[in-house]
This record gives sequence, C-alpha cells and structure tokens, in this order.
Amino acid sequence: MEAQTIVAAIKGDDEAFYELINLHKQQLYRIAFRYLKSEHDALEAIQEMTYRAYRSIHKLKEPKYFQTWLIRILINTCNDELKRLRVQLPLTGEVIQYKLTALDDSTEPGGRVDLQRLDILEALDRLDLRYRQVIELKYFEDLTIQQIAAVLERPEGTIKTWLFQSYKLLKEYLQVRGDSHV
Amino acid sequence: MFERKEPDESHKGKKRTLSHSETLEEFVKMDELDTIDDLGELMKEFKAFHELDGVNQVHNQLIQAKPRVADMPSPHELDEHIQKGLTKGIKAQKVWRFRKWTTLVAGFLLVAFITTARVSPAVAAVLHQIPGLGYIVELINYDKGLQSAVENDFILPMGVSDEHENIVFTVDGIIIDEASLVIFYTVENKRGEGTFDFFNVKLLDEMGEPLKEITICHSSAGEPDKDGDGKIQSRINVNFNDNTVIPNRLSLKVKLCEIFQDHPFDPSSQLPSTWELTIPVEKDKFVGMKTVYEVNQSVVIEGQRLTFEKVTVYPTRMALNVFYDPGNSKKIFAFDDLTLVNEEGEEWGSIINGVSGSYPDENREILFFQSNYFSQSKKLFLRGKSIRAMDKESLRITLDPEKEKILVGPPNLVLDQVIKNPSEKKKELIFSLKTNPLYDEKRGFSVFPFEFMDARGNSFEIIGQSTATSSDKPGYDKTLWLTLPDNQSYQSPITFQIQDYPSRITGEFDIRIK
Repeated sequence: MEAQTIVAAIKGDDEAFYELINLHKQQLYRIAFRYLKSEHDALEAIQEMTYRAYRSIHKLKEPKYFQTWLIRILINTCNDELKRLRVQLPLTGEVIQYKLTALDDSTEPGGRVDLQRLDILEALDRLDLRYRQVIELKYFEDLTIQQIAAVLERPEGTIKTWLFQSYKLLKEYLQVRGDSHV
Repeated sequence: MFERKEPDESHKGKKRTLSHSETLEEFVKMDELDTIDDLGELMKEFKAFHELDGVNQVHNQLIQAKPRVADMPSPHELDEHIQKGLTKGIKAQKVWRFRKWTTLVAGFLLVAFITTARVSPAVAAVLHQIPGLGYIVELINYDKGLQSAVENDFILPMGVSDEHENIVFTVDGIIIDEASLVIFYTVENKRGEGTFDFFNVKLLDEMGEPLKEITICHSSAGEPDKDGDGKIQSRINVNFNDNTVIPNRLSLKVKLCEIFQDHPFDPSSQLPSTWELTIPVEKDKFVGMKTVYEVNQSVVIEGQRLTFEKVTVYPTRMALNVFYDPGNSKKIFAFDDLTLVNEEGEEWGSIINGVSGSYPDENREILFFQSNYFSQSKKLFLRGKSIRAMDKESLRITLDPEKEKILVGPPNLVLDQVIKNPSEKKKELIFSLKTNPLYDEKRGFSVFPFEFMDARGNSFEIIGQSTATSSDKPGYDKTLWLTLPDNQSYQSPITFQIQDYPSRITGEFDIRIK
C-alpha cells in the first residue's frame, strides 16, 4: 500500500507525496524536536524538509528506502537549521565534551547535574549530538544500524563505535552520584 | 556494578511532553528479542564483553523509555507547516532550467509557457500524413518559420533507428538548410522504467570528424513521457556557423544518461552504449536558399547607439546582425519586443524555443528570428521599443555566501537564504528579484553567468541555476536559485558579471529593411 504511494510520489504525484509525509509526520516531528529542542525550530525544519523532499523525490531510486531517505533529509535540514541558529556544540574528533546544552530544560536548579541520579532521558540529553542521535534513532525510531548509517551518512563501523561509546557514557551518567566530573 | 534505576514516574511532570504508555510491555518484548544478541555482538566487537551486563541495563532502560518519547504530542501547526513546505516545492517546480550551452550562445527553452497551439491545419495535415511525424506538430507550434517549412515540403522523413540496452533512438525526420538542422527524434524505452537525457550529442562528417563551429541545442531535461507509452519525442537543434562545411552524410552520435532531476550532470548515471545514426544530406536541395538584406542603420536610445547591419533569411530562421557601439555607457542584454513586421502587420518574433542568437564578439550579436522565407512579403520592418540594459560600471554582483550577504549588487535583488548541502558538496543560494510585470511576467532571468571570480581573482564555475516566476517574498516576483560548489577552494567574497537584468532603456524605432 505504502509502496504504491511511494512509487506514485516518485513519479510526481503531489497527493501521494502529501499522504506519505502525513503518514510519517509524527515520527518526523519527534526526530526534529528531539534534535532541535524547540517546537518552533522543529516546525520550521519540517517545513523545509517537506520542500527539499518534494524537490528531490524523483531522485529516489528505491521506494523501500523512502523512510530512511526522508529522515536523512530531515537531519540534514536540522543540521542546517542548527548552524543557522549558531548553537551547535563543537564535537572535536572522538573527544567527548561533557557540556550541558544551552537549550536543555532538564538542568537542575543551580545548574548542577551531579547531585542526583539521572533519568535515562536526562542522561541521553547530556550526550553529544551524534551519540544521542544514534541512540534515539535505534531505540525510539527502530532504525537498524544500517539505516542509521544511511541516515547519518557515515559508515556502519562509525555508527557502531558511536553506539558503543554512547552505552558506556550512559552507563556512567546513570551511575553518577556526587561526582561532578564523571 | 551499578545501580539500576527503574523508569521514574516522578519525572513525568518534569519532561514537558512525555507521558507513559499503556503498550509499554509490548514494546519491551519486541525490542528485547530483536536486539539483545546484537548487543552481545557489539560488545565482543569492541572487546568489552565484560561490560555487557552494565550496558544491557542501559539498553533496557532505553527500551522502557521509548513509549515516553513516542507519546510526545505534536503541535497542531504541524500540518500547516507541511503544507507550506509542499506549496513552496510545487511553485519551485515551475522553473526554467538553464543549462550551460556551448560558448557564447544562449539557448532558451520556454515551451512550458506556450500553451496555445498555433499550427495551421495545413501544416498539421502534412505531418499527420507521414507516419511517425504527427508529434512534430506540437514541437513546432511556436515557430512560424518551421511550420511554413513543413508546409512547403521542406521536412525530410528519415525513420532511422539504433537500439542498445533496450532503448531505441530514432531520427524520424529532419529540416535542414545552410543555417541550421532540426532533428526530430524519438527515444523509446523498452526497459519499463526510467527517463533519459542526453549526456552527449555529437555530429560527425563522412570522415568521422566532428563538424566545426556548430552549436547543438537540445532540451535540458528529458521531456516528460506524457502519455506513458515509454516514448519521449523531441528535437535537437543544430546551428551552423558561416564557416561550417556541411557534409553529404552526417553521423549523429548520442550518449544517454538516466535522469534524476536536479542532477543533470551526474556522470555515474551515464549509459555505456553509443547510439549512432547516419543522416544523408542532399545539399543541392537547400544550398543557396537564403536572402540577404543589407540594412546598416543605427538608432540611439537613451544615449546608447546600436546598428542593425543586415538580415539574412533562411528557411529555418532569420538572422539579424547587430553592432553595439563600444562607446556606449550601458551594456545591452536583450531586446524585449524586437519583431519583424510586414506591410500587412504580420509579425515574426524571435526564436523562443531553441538557439536565440550568438555573440561573434563583445560588441556584436546575431539574433535569430522565426523565418518568413516562404512568405511573400512586399515590405519588411524591424520594430521595437524596449531594451534590457545596465550601466557597464554596475555589472557586478559581489557576495559572501558565508555571511549570506550581497556586498555589491543591483537594486531589487536580495539574497534570501543559503542552503548548505555538504553531503553533495554544494550550496544553494536563493535570491528574490523584483521585475517589471509589464514585460517580465512570464520571463525567467538568467542573471548569473556560469563563471565567477573569488577574492583571490581565481575563476570557478557554478553547478547550475534556475529561476521561477514567483516569489515567497512580499514585493518580489521571481526566485533565482544558484548552486555553487562547496569545497572551500574559493575564497569569499565572490563576484559575478551580470548577464541579464530587468533594467531597461526605452525608445521606439521602426526601420525598413525591405
């Protein structure tokens, strides 16, 4: 059913395209929101993603990759959006910086995160963007490592490394008690 | 190793949009079965199998957190934003794409905006009589000269084909004279799927040597297969130069690529085969078919002097040679409304689909018109009143793509947005342009050239440009897209020489040429 709609959309059927975006909109919004942490920015990203996807859907060769393709466009759009907003935290190589994101609303009063144990979602928010994304796409959006690799445009090996690092970091974060430096 | 923390209900209120889900258990079961093995594999791979237990705790917590994330409501404005994005996309689709032509020749394909069929019943009758040529009616309905050439039996049916890779390329017919060659062709796709565009079109003489000084012009993207019969039918225009030697037999060599729109130059989509067809040329049927009118009259419009030198009429087109005084303060871009008119008021406009002219040198231009070769006009006049032009000193646009700013540029042009696409190593600059609705309603502007200069004075090429006859920006009515390479090898700011712009000089002129 969806496959036929995808084929129609690739061939230029506007209604089919709209139907597909509608079908995936909750997931897309969720990804955008978790990425950008702002309702306004997430909505903007969805709008831009719709535009970009519409303009390039005829390039999509394999209908089965539709969803991955769409998420990739969304993530690229969010990347651009974030650059525009100039709030992206630097990620220097494999060195992980334990920074609090400026937009994180889960910061404890006084800005200290070390005084109580973290909930898993709070712990997740402390991961650097790429690590967080890998976890979120895998656990919340049910993407396979292969799909995540396609979405983030990295080799599978890199995704696995990020995943492994994320597990280790999350484990440490969840353990935190009174030690601020981890 | 560490204390496991159960999902804590008390956090529910604190995370702004998450809530618990009733289907939690289902999720847990499905995902655990699916990934627990993977997890062991992963830990082995990183030689950290001893940490599996701890990591597995994280894994479980993540699975349990899923419903809280999944239940996040989306704002009701979501639909509105999707629609806005789609509307913008649909508008942008209505664009004219400009492809890079061979040097110094401008070819414009404006088919999309010519909807009324103007082919006379007589012409249609001729074409429908010849098997396989019926579709040509549509392809020439905006060119009076080609219509009258058909009416005067100047079209030569061919019907030669070559097939490779389940794609048949057929030349159905040609119209040829000393000025140009029009090839009507069919590409039949027997593969079922895909659309194809030319990757490369070559014309060779009997010796296998490429024809010299010709310009080949064809549609920039494959024509859509409107009726879904797997056939694309269109035409290739070949313009000869005064120095071109037309051979007795032409060989057309075509390479095709699969089209993914927006990626016309992707070399990987090229098909390996070459379609090769031989076209016999009976030169005695057209050699000498031309009429030359020496004009040599000048007009001065807002201080700019232009001289109409001569008009040469061939069956396929007319050519008007114009000379622009090098002392002019303005650069002349184009004539808005130049037409040839006969004593009865019948008009022949410029070529609107195909090669519209050429520039022999900086101050000279040859403009092509639809031909009146076969018509019996007693008198002919050259008339017009509006010319697009701009001060030679202001022909520069300097911009900084990083700062998203135009530093030096003409009025009425703004840079709206720069979209970076690092994965494809390019960035798209989106501009809005304000034009004159009187003349420009249906016109796209190719403001930018294909080359630009960086801050160090090195020259680079753009990837592509396109324009739309609409704009999202209030007060503006065109959108321009400019795609630049994004490999950091050039240094901002970058400078473009303006190629065309909606600024004008006006003054009526009416010159008799016959």
